[in-house]
Amino acid sequence: MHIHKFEQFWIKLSFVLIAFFIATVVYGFVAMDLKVIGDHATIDPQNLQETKFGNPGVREVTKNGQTEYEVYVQTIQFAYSPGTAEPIVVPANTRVTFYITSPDVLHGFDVAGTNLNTMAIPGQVAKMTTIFPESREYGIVCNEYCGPAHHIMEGIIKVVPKSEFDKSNLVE
Amino acid sequence: MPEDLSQPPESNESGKNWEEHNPDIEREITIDEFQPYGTLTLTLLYFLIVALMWVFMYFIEFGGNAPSIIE
Ligand SMILES: [Cu+2]
Repeated sequence: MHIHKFEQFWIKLSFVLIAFFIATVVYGFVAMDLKVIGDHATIDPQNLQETKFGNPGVREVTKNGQTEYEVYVQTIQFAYSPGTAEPIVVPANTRVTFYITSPDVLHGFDVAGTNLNTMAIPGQVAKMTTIFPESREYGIVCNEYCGPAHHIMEGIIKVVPKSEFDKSNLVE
Repeated sequence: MPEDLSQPPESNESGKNWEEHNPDIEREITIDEFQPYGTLTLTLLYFLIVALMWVFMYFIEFGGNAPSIIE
């Protein structure tokens, strides 16, 4: 079969483009150290009461001699608990690990304007660790259609300076 | 593809070839003499736009949008 040389050229170019896409993704995960959510744990969505999700909120933990925070969040139609009724308050420049699950349907947990974004799947626990560099407020939006009031499902993360972090609101 | 298929059916009926039906055509060229540099330019431009948008989307929107997941 005879193919015109221009056509041969842009067929080759499309393979170069695909190789370029794959190379950038490999570069991102190897050199830039990008992370995405993996499978962390499974859980019985009917019995969250018996787990740390039964008493959701911010917990203080010590890992490797450092004070860190764990945030257990339930995503429910159509709110984050905590997050919607009261904001999630965490200190800046500290490691914060979010554990997110859903007792009802699929939701999203997207910290708007950042790379923090995960699905909240019934029966699965999403885990992500981050450090908020500055004290400011972040919005959380649900980015998986979860029912008729999906569009109003939102929450707030309040990042406060370490010195102003009030430990009396921590859960045990 | 056989060449007769690319000809309009009426040219076969009348017995005339395609050029006689299109007196404006001055010269017939082979496939390799046909050199669409305009199409080539547009294709290169398109590839360049796709590549630049990918770089923007991946490194800035996805990679550079701190705070990120660190673990
Ligand atoms: Cu939703």
